[in-house]
Amino acid sequence: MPHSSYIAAIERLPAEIQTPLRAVGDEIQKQVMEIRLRCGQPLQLRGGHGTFYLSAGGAVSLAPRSDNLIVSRRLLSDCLRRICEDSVHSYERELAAGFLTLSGGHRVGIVGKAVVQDDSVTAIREISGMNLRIARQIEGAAAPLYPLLEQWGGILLAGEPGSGKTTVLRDLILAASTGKTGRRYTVSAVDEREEIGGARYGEPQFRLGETTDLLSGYPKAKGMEIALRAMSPDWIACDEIGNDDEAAQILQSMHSGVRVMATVHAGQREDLVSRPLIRRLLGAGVFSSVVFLGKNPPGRCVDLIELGKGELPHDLESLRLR
Amino acid sequence: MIWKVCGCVSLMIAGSLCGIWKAQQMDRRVQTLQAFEWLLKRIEAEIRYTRTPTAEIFAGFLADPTFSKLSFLPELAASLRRAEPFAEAWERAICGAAPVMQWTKADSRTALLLGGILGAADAESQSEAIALLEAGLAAQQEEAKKNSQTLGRMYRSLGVLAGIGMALLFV
Repeated sequence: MPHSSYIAAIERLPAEIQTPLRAVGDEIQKQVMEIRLRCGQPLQLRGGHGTFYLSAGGAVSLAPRSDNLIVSRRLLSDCLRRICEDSVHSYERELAAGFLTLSGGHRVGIVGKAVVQDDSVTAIREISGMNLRIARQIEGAAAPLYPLLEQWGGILLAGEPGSGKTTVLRDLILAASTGKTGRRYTVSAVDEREEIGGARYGEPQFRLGETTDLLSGYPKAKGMEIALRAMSPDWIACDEIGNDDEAAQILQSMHSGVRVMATVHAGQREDLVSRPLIRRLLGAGVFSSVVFLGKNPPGRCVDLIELGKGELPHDLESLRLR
Repeated sequence: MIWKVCGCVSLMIAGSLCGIWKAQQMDRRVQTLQAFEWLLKRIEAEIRYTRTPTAEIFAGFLADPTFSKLSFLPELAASLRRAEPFAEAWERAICGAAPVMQWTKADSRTALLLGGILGAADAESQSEAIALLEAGLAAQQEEAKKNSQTLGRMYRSLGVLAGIGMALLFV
């Protein structure tokens, strides 16, 4: 039986690519996390078990072969057009930002030749590559972390790209909202890139629980502000924090008694130490736990830092490791 | 005698109606090309100013009486609702409706170009391509108008004359 997330993710691709992708075996379909299209190169499927090369007939190999499906420039253009629902003009802002989100929360990263005006990318032309990341809901993915919901502070999920941060965050939201720890929390999920809930016409495509409010497409700082003012949350959840506005809003949330669960790009403790913004948040006592996720397999907790209440570390290396 | 008069009148009416029908076909081409030109302008405006997705643009046009003569719109909108690729849906809709709209092969060819343009690039590039398409269409519209005026009048006269001629033969 084909894997539903995989099938949903490739649904908008042109038939020339979609047909061989549909012919891929079920076991591979389950593993695939990314579909990589690079101009002039064979189409690649990346998963937890390595990279596979796809042939035009749907067969996969671990090394490039002569019958691999080569991604031409025309095919890339067709992909872009189909992914944008034949409305590239409606997605110019997203394309300039380098990604767009498909129905179901699947994210497509798009690169090419940048058109730059006043130091900012206003458009991209001559698309040279795409990366379709398949979003999956794995209920129980964060099960070992559920007790952290009952601690005094927020939860920060750290990991490299592809380490399953969003999947774990989504499961934590579900756990908080469905009362997996015995208490049901009201959660406001600020989903700027529409990956957490993958909302379509207001309805989340992933299960986030019955007491979760989904704020889709809001810039994170603005979304947190609105959630705080209007939605009376116990928890605010957001993906990939990274700028000062967001940090300020997170601090504001903490001062309002609302806990925050968030993700951040950082593979290890040193990466966190090197980011002043995260140091500031940890120093202010926003988070009671920092969870590092690994890539093999994605979503596995490889390191956990727990902070006692009132413990305001100046040196992260001194933090207690469990 | 009365039957003969009735027969003559019927033949004259039939001949005239044939001429009028033929002339109306030519008018239809003019009207549909005009509506199509207006459609292109509206598409360009929607893309440039509101960035409306392609399927929504055509769904909106369905209810607009300005485009009631463009008989490809219902099929196209239905195909886009089913999330079919625009280029394929457009080609099928245009090819299916061209005979009804009295379009020539050249008219259809020009219209089909939109299938490769719409939704395929950023708004600016699309606007430029649509402007070129409009320029190409203008010549065809001019030709259709001219044909409608000259040939249309001729068909009407021929119809009446043919009716009279048949009536005379009948007598």
